[in-house]
Amino acid sequence: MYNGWSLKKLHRLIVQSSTWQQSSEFHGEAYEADPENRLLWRMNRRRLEIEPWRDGLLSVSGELDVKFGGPSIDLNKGDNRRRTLYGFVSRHRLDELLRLFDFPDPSITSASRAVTTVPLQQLFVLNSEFMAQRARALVRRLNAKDVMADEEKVRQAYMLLFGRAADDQELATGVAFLSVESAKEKLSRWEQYALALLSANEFLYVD
Amino acid sequence: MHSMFSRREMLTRSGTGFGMLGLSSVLANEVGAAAAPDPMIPKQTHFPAKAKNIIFLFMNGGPSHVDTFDPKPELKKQEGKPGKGGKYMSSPYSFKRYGESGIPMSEIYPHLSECADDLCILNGMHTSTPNHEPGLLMMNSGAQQPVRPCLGSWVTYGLGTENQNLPGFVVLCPGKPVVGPALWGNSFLPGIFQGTHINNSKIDPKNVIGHIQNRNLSSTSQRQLLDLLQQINRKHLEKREQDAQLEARIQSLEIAYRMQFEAQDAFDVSNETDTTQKAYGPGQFANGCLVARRLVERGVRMVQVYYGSGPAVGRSR
Repeated sequence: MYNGWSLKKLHRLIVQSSTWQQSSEFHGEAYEADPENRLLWRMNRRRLEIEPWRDGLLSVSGELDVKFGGPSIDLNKGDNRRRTLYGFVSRHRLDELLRLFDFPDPSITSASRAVTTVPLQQLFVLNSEFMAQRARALVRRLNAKDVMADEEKVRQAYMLLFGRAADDQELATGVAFLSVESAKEKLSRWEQYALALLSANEFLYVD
Repeated sequence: MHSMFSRREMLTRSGTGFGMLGLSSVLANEVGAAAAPDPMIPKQTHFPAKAKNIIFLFMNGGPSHVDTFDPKPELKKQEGKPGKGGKYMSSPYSFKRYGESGIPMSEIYPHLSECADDLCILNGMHTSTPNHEPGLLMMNSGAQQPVRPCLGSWVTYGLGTENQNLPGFVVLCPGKPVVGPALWGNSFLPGIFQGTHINNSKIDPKNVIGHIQNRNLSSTSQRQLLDLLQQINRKHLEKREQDAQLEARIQSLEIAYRMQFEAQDAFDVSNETDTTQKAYGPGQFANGCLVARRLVERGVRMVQVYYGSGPAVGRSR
């Protein structure tokens, strides 16, 4: 109000505040006093909405088409690598992927997006061809450089997906999984490992 | 549900107001700082419920009430006289009262009349528009205008469902009815409360639910991959104590894995005995009814079976 009701200035005030800039780190004492975080002692951990999550998957696998503008395209089209923003939205029959991940009904107004965590979403994560393709592409990306040992590739994958170094335990877990000979499958052992990393909570939630 | 309200309240609320059923959990389930638990978890009703599941047979274009359960003596008297848009026509069938309850039924139901006392018949349904589309919407969502959440969405929203390995609200409809998915739409409720539509003109247990089958990995490899993923997720969780939403997703992944096997079995009618299959008879609708039975046996909260996808007009003779 002091700034002539400017929302822009209000937003700036909010995002520059130390309250807004907190991490979602846990503090036992604060948790005891206010487990629901009503007093905002930390940032609430957020799940990525479908758009940034799908874009993120395509981005780390090196496939995202960042072209600006253009007509909307069915998200289920096999070769659709465009940003999810350009996905085709039907008011009559909302895209299955969008609906599954809490995209609101486009024929009515929606004040905010619901966040649900249900098994049908995880079926998409574990079984869809979309995820399998991202896993394949991610492995291609990791193999594109010089020949590297598994451990080095695991290190690169962590940096690429989570923006941090993998610790010793994580390296060991990865190498152990990769060293097991698996039955002949349509996804190689490395592609299976990549799929697990892409499906991880760390990729889906923002601290 | 029966014991939650008096009969009068029930009737008032179930017509255009079944939103009340879910209201109690609207406030409780808001996603806030502490993550909401899985919204499909069964919820306590205010009073112990007698009924556990609903099978809603929506027989699009079924025979007229005048020829089935609702005798109209006055119509006989007006027979042949000009009325609104045509001449009055009374029912060509005779009616009798059946069972201890004395439910009137026409002669076209010789077998159904034997089970009169197992039925509860409501003749009080009414809409102000005689068209199909508003009628279908009214029946399913309680409003003639789109878009409101449908009955099944409210029921699963308010009560959850008993089997977490299957969807809570399943709609079996061959093709699309006139109004389309709005009939099982969640509207402003979260997307998971939308009915899972299954086209029962051809049920393939491997395809009924999106991504129910993994086409790339054997179940052994799938399990190994999931074990690895959960190990990564649990390590991630260690440093992030007390986060229900992260734990919920770990749970949810496990359920999804189990759902693959359970769902394929539930939708596979060929697993029924010959006797049962014969009793239901052949055809889409019979098949849909049998699937509905298998689903509620497994704890699915609500199943809707559509008869035909297009509206039928007219009287039975």
